[in-house]
Amino acid sequence: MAWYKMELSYLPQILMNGVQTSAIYALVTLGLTIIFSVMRVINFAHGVLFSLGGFIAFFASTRVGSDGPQANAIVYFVLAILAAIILLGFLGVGIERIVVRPVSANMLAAFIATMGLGEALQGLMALVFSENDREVPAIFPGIVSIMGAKLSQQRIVVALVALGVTVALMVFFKRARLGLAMRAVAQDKEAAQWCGINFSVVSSIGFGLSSGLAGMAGVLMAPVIAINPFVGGAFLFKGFIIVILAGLGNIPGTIAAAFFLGILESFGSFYLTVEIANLIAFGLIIVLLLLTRGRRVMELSA
Amino acid sequence: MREVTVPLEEGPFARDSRGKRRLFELRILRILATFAIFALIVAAPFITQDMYFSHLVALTSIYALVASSMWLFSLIGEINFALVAFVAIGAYVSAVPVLRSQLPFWMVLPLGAGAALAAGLILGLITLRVRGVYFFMVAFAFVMLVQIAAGGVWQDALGGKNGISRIPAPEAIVLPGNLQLSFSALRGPDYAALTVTITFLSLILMHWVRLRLRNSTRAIAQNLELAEAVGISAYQHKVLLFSLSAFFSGLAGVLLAHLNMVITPADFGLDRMIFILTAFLIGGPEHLIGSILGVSALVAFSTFVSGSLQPVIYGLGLMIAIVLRPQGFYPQLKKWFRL
Repeated sequence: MAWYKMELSYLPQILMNGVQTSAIYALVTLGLTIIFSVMRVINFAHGVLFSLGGFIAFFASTRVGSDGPQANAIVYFVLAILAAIILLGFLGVGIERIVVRPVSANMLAAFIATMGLGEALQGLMALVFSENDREVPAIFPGIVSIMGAKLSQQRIVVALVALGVTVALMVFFKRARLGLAMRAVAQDKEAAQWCGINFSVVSSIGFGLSSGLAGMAGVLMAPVIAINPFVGGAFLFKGFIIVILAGLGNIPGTIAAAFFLGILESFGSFYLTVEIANLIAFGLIIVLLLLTRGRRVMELSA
Repeated sequence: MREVTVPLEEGPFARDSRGKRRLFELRILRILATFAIFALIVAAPFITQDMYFSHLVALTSIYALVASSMWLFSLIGEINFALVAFVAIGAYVSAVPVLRSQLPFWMVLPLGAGAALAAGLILGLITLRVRGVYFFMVAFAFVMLVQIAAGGVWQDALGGKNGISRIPAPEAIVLPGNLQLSFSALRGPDYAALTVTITFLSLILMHWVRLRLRNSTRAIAQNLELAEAVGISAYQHKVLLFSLSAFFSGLAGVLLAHLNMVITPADFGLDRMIFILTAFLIGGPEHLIGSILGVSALVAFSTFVSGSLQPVIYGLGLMIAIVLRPQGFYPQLKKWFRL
């Protein structure tokens, strides 16, 4: 029985797949955590924005065709990312103004309102685009081998872009005026307003930024997975698990938890099945809640 | 979310200053009217002898049971977003032994509901210490997880994505007076009578629980810290009501599995959760009858609208209900009929 030796050679491969998924999880979850920090609202429509991003990538790829030159495909992919950030960013601002703001004083009501919106948008997408899986051809079809692991270039590019955006976001929250304003609002909304921060503008921009991030994650993921109107739901579910593990508003914790979950899943689905990997992740949450009796998680949110 | 106020009522059912009904006779009248409506709903499928109508009556009563268990937990001002998972547990735990060990329906009915109760108790004990957003997210993760587990674990019993089919009809019951409820392969009016009766008994139980806990739940809903300060354990109340709502949803799950004869993981997803939540909120979350009215309205509505359009309309309905009319439509109806 030398199965462990044999499969040890897959180790870098499993790790790299895990890193790539984790980077996307981090992007999706950072969006959730930004909205929560600024407005104290959980956006249940976040997963739908991810699916919409995937469809933007799909329609961009149909413009290129399968036999076009690679440079063309790259240009369209970059355009799709920009389009997703801009279109979904504005959609996010609209959602914040029309749906979330009237009920934002009540966390439960805001959660239910975005849930209704997400369900309606998902149903609309299923009606307009049909429920079928769409394939987006890989933009970078080559394969690189690193330490004996064969990795598709596409996955490496996705991971690098997602990691770059995550780092850029961390710098944004440390250095940029707007990022600092958002953190100020997250810490104490009223004190921030006394210092001259316009809460109404900051919360709109925060919602738009978060929606743009979800759409961008969808575009990035599109060449790697099949796109359908329901694909975002799975990522939202992972986002919830990460948020429960890390606490809302805790940006370094979110990134750490995203990597933990992504790599755990990658190993779990290699050695066991995807379903069991998900069960293990949920079991972890339950154990964490048991150990802390809910206190630590609560303190982080306060 | 729940701001409980006791309005001064008008009309024949007015209360005096201590909240007692002014006229005892009218209270009896009200109870009699409730039983009369129950008898009418049981009788209607037998009179029409229409299979589709019987199916709709059974389906409405089952979802009314789920929506009213949502009402039961909402008494303390929170929403149980995990109800669909308990419906799934009831359905699967009852269907598997019927098919694999040929257990009778009357044995799996308490088994399924009991399994949901146990799951609700365990989940509640662990997660109900966490307030607010984390609790919603744990509940949602639980729904997704039960769906994933039903589709991917122990495939030869749970049937994977295709689920379990050909669930046999329950055994006949002989009633006194030479009556017999025999459940045909198509279920029909007899099964509708069974589900309506079980739902009705459960509603009476829930109403009784509410009467017993009226003041403490109201206190917790209005101000949790204050309620705890005067010695009401919010945690105990939450766990109790959460596991009771899980129990009644599990019961509904058993009934649903044996009505539809087929269960798949897709039957217990977010779509169904949103259906129940919409019905609960549209009807009027403050009142038990609001849930029943909401479910009846949505089931009736769903027979006219094609399946692919339904999620859009339910989602919009949910959004509009919570943004524009969080108190639901039952208070409006009450005003119109001057009850």
